[in-house]
Formats: sequence, C-alpha cells, structure tokens
Amino acid sequence: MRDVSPALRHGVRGAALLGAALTLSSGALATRKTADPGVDTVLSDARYRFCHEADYPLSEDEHAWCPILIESSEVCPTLVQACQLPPAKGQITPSSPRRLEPKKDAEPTPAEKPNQPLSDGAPPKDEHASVTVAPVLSGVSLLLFIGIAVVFLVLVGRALAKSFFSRDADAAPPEAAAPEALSAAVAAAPRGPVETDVDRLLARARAAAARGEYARAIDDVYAALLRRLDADGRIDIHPSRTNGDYVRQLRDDASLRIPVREVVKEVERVHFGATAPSERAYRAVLDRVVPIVSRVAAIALFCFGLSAVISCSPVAATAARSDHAGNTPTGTQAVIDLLTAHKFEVKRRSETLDKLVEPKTLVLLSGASLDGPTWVHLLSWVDDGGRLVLAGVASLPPELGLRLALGTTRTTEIDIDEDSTFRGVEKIRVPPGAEIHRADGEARDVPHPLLLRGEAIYATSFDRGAGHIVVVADDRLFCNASLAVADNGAFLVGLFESMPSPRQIEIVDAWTGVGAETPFAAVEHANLLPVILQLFALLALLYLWKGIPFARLRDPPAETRRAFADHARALGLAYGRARASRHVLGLYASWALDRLRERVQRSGRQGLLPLAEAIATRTGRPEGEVMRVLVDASGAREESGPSSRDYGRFLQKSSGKRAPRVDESASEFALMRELEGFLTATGRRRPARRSSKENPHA
Amino acid sequence: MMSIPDYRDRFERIRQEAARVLLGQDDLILHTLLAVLAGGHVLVEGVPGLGKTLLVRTLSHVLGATFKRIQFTPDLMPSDVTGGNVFNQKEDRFVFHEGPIFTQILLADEINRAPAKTQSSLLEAMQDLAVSSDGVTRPLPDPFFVIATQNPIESQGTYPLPEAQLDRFLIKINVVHPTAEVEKQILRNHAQGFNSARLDSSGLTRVATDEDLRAMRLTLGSIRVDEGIIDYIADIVGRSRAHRSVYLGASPRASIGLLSVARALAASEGREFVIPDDVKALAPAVLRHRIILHPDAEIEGISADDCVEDILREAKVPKTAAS
Repeated sequence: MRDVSPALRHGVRGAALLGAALTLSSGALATRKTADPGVDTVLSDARYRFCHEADYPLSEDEHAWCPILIESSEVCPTLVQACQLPPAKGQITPSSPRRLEPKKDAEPTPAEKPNQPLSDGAPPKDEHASVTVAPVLSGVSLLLFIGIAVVFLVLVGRALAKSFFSRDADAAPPEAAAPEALSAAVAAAPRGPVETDVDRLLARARAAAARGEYARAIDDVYAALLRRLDADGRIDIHPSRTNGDYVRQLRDDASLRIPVREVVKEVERVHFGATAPSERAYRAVLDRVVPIVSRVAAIALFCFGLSAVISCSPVAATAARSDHAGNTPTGTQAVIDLLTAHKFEVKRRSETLDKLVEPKTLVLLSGASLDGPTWVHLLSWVDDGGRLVLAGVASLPPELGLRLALGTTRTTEIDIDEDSTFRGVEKIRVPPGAEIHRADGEARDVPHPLLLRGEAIYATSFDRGAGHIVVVADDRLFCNASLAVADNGAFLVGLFESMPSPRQIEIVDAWTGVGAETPFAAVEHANLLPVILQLFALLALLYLWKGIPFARLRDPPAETRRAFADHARALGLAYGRARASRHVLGLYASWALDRLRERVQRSGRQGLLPLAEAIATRTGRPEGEVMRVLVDASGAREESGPSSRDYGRFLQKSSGKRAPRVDESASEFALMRELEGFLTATGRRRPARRSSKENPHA
Repeated sequence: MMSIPDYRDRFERIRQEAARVLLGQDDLILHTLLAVLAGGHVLVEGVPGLGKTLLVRTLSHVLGATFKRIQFTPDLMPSDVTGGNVFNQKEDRFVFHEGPIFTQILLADEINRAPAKTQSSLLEAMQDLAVSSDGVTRPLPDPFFVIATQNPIESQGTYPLPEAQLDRFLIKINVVHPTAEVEKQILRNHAQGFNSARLDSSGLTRVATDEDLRAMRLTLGSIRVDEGIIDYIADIVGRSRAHRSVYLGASPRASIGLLSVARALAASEGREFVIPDDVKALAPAVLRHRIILHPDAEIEGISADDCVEDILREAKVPKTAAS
C-alpha cells in the first residue's frame, strides 16, 4: 500500500506548479530525453507511422496530446508536426476509448458535469457498436476461409492424383524447364503416354508446328483445350465421348460453347475431312484455343483470388486489431512492445474474464465492459493474489468505494516523488481529463493516492486480500502517444516492475471476450446458426428427394446368387410376357397329375376316372367336379407339347393360333389353383425330423 | 449428283415441309428422311395414333412419290403383297398382276399383325428391289422404300418379325407420345380445319422429285469417311456381338447401314465428311432392332437400347484428346 502524506502531496503539487511556472516563464520547450531508452527503440519502428509521417492524420482524441507533445516530445518530432494539422473529423478507430473529457468551447452536459460520476454502475453502452461486428464476423470468415482452403487443397490434390495416375509411370514426361528447353524436350520425346498438362501440350504443339508436323500440332492444341476445360470441371473427358458431346456439355455457358464449337469444326475438318493439316489450319485452331485457355484460367484465377480476398479480409481485420489499429497514437501496441522489451510477457486477452484463474497482472482499459458477476469474479481473483490495473474503467464496483468524475483542473503534469519506487522518473504528463473521487465523498478523501494532478487524485493504489489494485483516472497513460511524452514510458515500466512475479500482463479492452473460441461459436454469435441449420435441413431434404442420384451414380454390386423365389418370379414374368399361360398350365398339370397319382391311386387302374374317385374320396368334393378339373388338366398337358426351350419355335409353327385372351389366362390360372388345392388336400404332413438325442435309434 | 450445300438446302426444305404437318416428331422425320436417302427402309414402332401413317402419307406428298398402303392382317397372303399370276382365259395364258408392292413408297401398316410367311414376302423386295414370281424377276420402281409400322410386341394379336426381316430395315424408330404443348397445337390445327385424310387441302407442297432423290442418294457417295470412322463403326458393331446381354449381335449389314445413314446425316448438316458424332447419334436407331437379347437379360428388364448405350459407352471414339 502506498500512502502519500498531505505534506508530500503539497510538495508534489508545488513541484508541479514550479515546473509549470518554469515552462511558462521560459517560453521554451522543456525538451528532454525520456527516462527509458527502450521507448526510442520501440517508437523507431516503422509500424508506428505517427512517429515517422509528418502528415499523419490525428483524430480529435489523439489531438488532445498535441499541447503536451509540442512542449516536451523529442522522441516523435514528426508527431509534433502532425499536430499542426487540423484533427480528422469522424475518424473512429477500434481502439477509441470511452472516456469522459471536457468539451472544447462548450458547456459540459449535466452528465458530464464535474464531480458527477461517470457511470451509475451499469456497463456503458458501446458508442461504436458497429465496430464490434468485425471480430464476430471474423470467426465466421475464418471458418469460411478454412473451408475454402480445404476444398481448394482437396481439388488440387485430386487434380494432382488424377494427373499422376493418368500417366504411365514408366514413361515419365521430361521435367519442367524453360519454355525453349521444354519445347526441345517434348519435340524429342516419343509420342507415348497421354499428356494432360495444358502448358506442356501447347509447348508440344508449338514444337511440332516448328517441325512442320501440323497434324500433331493441331491434335495437341485441341487436346490442350479439352484438358483445360476438363481441369476446370466444365467437361469430363472420356474415351467414349465425341467432340459433340464435349460441346453439349458446355451448353450452360454460351460464351464458351460457341467458340469451342468453332474450334471443333476446324479440328474435325482436319481429322475427318479433306482439309490437309497446314500451318493455316494450325494457326486457325491455335488462335481460337489460346484465348479460351487463358480466359478459363483467368476466370478460375479471378474466382480463386476473389474468394481468397473475401475470405481473408475479415481475417485481415482481425490482424489489423493487433497491428494497424494498435499502432495509432491511441493504440497500445507500443506500450506492449516496451514492456516486452523489459522482459514482460504481455498479450491482449481474448478470453472472457470469467475464465481468469492464474495470478498475473491485468490491465483494464476504458473500453473494457464488465457486468456484475464478472466484477465479483475479478475481485475474488484479486483477493487470491491477482494484480489489477483499472485504467479509466468507468463502471467501478461499489466494493472499491471509488468513482471517476470529470476533473476541473487543466494541469497536464503529474509529479513523481523522488523517494518512490519509480526511480529515474521525474515527471509524467497526460492531457486533462477525469479524476478519482470517493464514491461517497470528496476527491481529497481518496485513500492511498499514487499520482496527483494538481489537487486531484489521478491514480490510487492499494492492496486487497493477497492481491493489489491500481486505479487510474483514465487510460491515456497506457497509449502509444503517452510514450512520446516525458517519463511516461519509464513510469509504466516502473509501475509493472513494482508488481510481484510472475511478469505476465494481460490487457483487457473492448475486444476481450467478444471473439468466438471456436468456429461454431462464431456461427452462433453471428446469429447464423438458424441459417446453417436450415441449410443442413435443406441438404437432408435434397438427399431424401434425390436419394442416390444426388451423388455420382454407380452400378450396384453384382449379385452372385439369387433367391429361388426371384428365379421363379422372373420365369413367371417371362412366361407372362410371352403370353404362354397355356403352356405353363400344361407343364404344371403334367407335374400335378403325376404327384396326385403317386399319392392317391392305389388300385392299379389306369385313367382319370379312378384318380378322380380317389381324390373325391380324400377331399370330399363331388366326383364330377374333380373329374372336370382333371380332364381340363389332362388336355392342357397334351397341348403343352414341346419344352419351354422350344416354345418360341412351337409358337411360330402354330402361328395360325391366336394368342390367349386375358379371360382365358385367368381360367388357366384358376385351374392351376384347383390342382394346387388337390395336392394340398391329398398331401401328407411331413413328420418333423427328430434330433439324434431324442431318437438315438433313428 | 448435287453439291453438299444444295443437298443440305433440299434436305432442310423437305424436313421443314413435313414438320408442318407432323408436329413434335422432329426425330421421326429426321431419321426417316435419313434412311430414305441412304436407301434403306424404316421400321416405326409405337402405339396407335401417334402419326406413323401420317408420316408416310406426308412424305409421299412432299417427295411426290407414288404411295401404296398394305394393312397387314393375320390372313394376309404373300401374293396379296407381291401380286401373282392369274390365268387369262381369253388369252389362254397366265398374266402377272402386280401387287401393291409395286410403288415407290410402301406403307406396311401394322406389319407384325401378319404371320411370318407373309412378312417374309417383303424380303426380296427390300433387299434386291425386285419381286420374283414363277421364275420371273420384276424390278420395283426407283426410288423404292418401305416404311413399316408395328405395334409394340406386347400388344394383343401380334407376331414377332423374324430376324432376317428385321435386318432388312435400316433403322427402327420408336415413336413416343407428344408433349402436352405439341398436343395442344395439334388440337388447334384440327380445330382450324386440318384433316389428316385430306393432305391436299392442308397446303402441303411437293419440294422434291424422283430425280432429286436419286441425285441426293448419289451425292452421299462423295461423303468422305475417314479410316477412324470405319474403325469406330466396326468397333461398335463388333461389341454388339460380344456384349454380355446379347444373344445375337448386329450383322455386317448393320455396319453398312450405319455407315450409309451416317453419311446421310453428315450431308444433311452440310459436311462433306462423317464425324464420330454422326455414328454415335444413329447407332441406337440402326442397332436396336438387330440385337437379340439373352433370355436372362430380358428377364432382368434390359432392353436393346440399354445394350447399345453400354456399347457406346465402351467404344473408343477415334482421334480425341483422351486417346
């Protein structure tokens, strides 16, 4: 805990006043090198354009540093020049803080009146909500980018594999070389495996044309065209496809189909017509093919480039958060670099504060937005040993007993006690702004003040549990422009040096916790989950609708064996198509009569009558009816004549006979049913086979 | 003989004139004309009422050819087709009475309703363009071609055509029902007074003569056929004999027919050479009726068109990038 006595405070104030008086009286710039040499090194980096470009456009917020810079900065002379320019209106950077500061040439609004709390405790509304869309989108974009990249890699791999397997491994083509060498190589190479590379085909064509082999040259040029279209997925080359098939495959793209058709006509005149392969014919084909080949490639390249740009731009926006936006005067990248140079592990926190567990130093900037539960977790974390720096956080929790209010002092200088732990730090300066008050009292009653700006408390520091809390009135001290002024850089290093180990620092700003941890979370944050789910549902419906044809058609696996029922059914269908129901009846009747004789006829008498008597006895049906069925069956057996194999010839011989009508087929089927009934009624139930255990004598 | 552009113009005029009456049957008209010009005969299969007879009558009008029709029935005798010797008591000798086959365009309507012996009476006429009777061979008019129609084999009271008869037909065309839009147009034409029985009143004009037809047929002889095309045709027809589902493949007559009709198609498109597309486009029409399937394949529901499609998928097209 750092306590400052009233005497000391007066001393600090006196020194500040003295310094200001000296500054005013001298009328000269109180220029001096910053106390920390690392600041020069950091700001000399070209990334910090504000320190290297005299016409760097400063926003109104950044312009607030200008009076101080003009007086005291040696580190960034160009920034002093940039301050001479008027501030850029409406410029919003992602790192624009939410802080209260006195308006120029205007009365403060009631909400901004001095000694008014900056917040009622609720998290402040984001004034630039649209800015936060970028990180939300970045997750989706990253997902898209990864998806496109994977698809692209798969396609490339497929093309490579296709190219690789389509070549004869034994006759590898000559290695890629300069066009002249390639031409010579392909010219010397024998015409062996099918070449699929467009460039090599064109080179081979040119080489052949140079040798006067125009037929081969035309072949190769045309092959290059087809291979290009095939590689772009517009046609599918197959040995059974004709040139016309390829043209028809392009019917959806008239701009391509028409020129390709013209090329095909030219080529076919040479291939199949009487046109001799000549240089004129070769040129005619080449002049038509080259624009198509290059156009298709250009379109493909454009599409890929466009997709890459679309996919990568949000990623670039994400990167800009850490690079470009952080490099502005109000950014924090230079502070991070400075602390990193002093062996601190500094990073911006992306995870939500709910997951904060390990003890480290946490710097909350003014853009950080915390709700009640998060504050509770954060203070609990401090109690367990965490170090917390609250820089301009408006919504301080009631447990701290502090609030931020708009200050009245215009003083920019903040003096450092020589006896403090900030050795070598004499003075720090920040633009006028907020100050710290007790939540229920006056500003002067704030305990444990650390920094005083005039009469106002600019920073306070105190222990809490096993941890430590530093509250700063605003976060200007932690921005890039701050390093260019006085001993601000050295003070920051000293501030964090005074914290116990470990030397891990995390910066919490407006972006913390708003990014998604997984692409799926990003989709959900972007409210795209319903759309994605609907797309999946649509795909499922499409699959249900189209079924297998939704994918590439493949032949079903050949069945090696069929069920007997399938054979019987197929045979029946074949007989049905041939309208050979009478023939079938004859065959069935022959078989059925033999079975019936075996089963019921025991007297030894021949003929249908004894058989009918026996069946009638066994079935209980009228003998006359049974006899009628047997007579019809016997007649059908006599008519069936030849076997089914010769039935076609039999039909031709008996061509005078007409084909059976439908009602006749029905009556023949009914007769077969009658015979089946006799067989069922006269059949003996087959005894169930006993196992050897049940009947050991069987 | 005429030049290829003249051939194409004349062909197009015939086709367009026929298409004025036969709506929505462009393929039927095209294939019939190609077969006629290639010197072949056409077998048209389809259910009744699709305009098969109207096609023949329209062609006879447009080509200005003599036209006769034989309605094939189960009791039709061969002499009813070819004609025969009749004893003339006054002259005390036999006199040959020409049958309806002595014409330029013969419509053999529902040819599969007659038994095989009657169907076979057309064999000599279709192959040799002549009719023999009692040892005397009489030539038929030139040009002569047969357009036979048949109902699908599954129809009642039909007899399948023997293979020898089928092989005489250069192409077989399956006629399908017109689309709803075409059918509406047909109805509109009839509502406006079109009568298919009175084609004279429909404004149909004669756009070709016998001489023109003969000249066009002669022109086809000048169409160039590359060696690759010969190989392609031989490959296709050869594969039809080796296909796993085919019991009896296409004959060399099929190869010749495919070549002839491909030449006709090339000339009709103004080309003086045949390309593989011509062969591939016409192979189904030339081969489908010449392929006898294995019973197993029939049972499995495989059709001749399926086999031809398979064959064309396997046959290697000459002079392509994939070769």
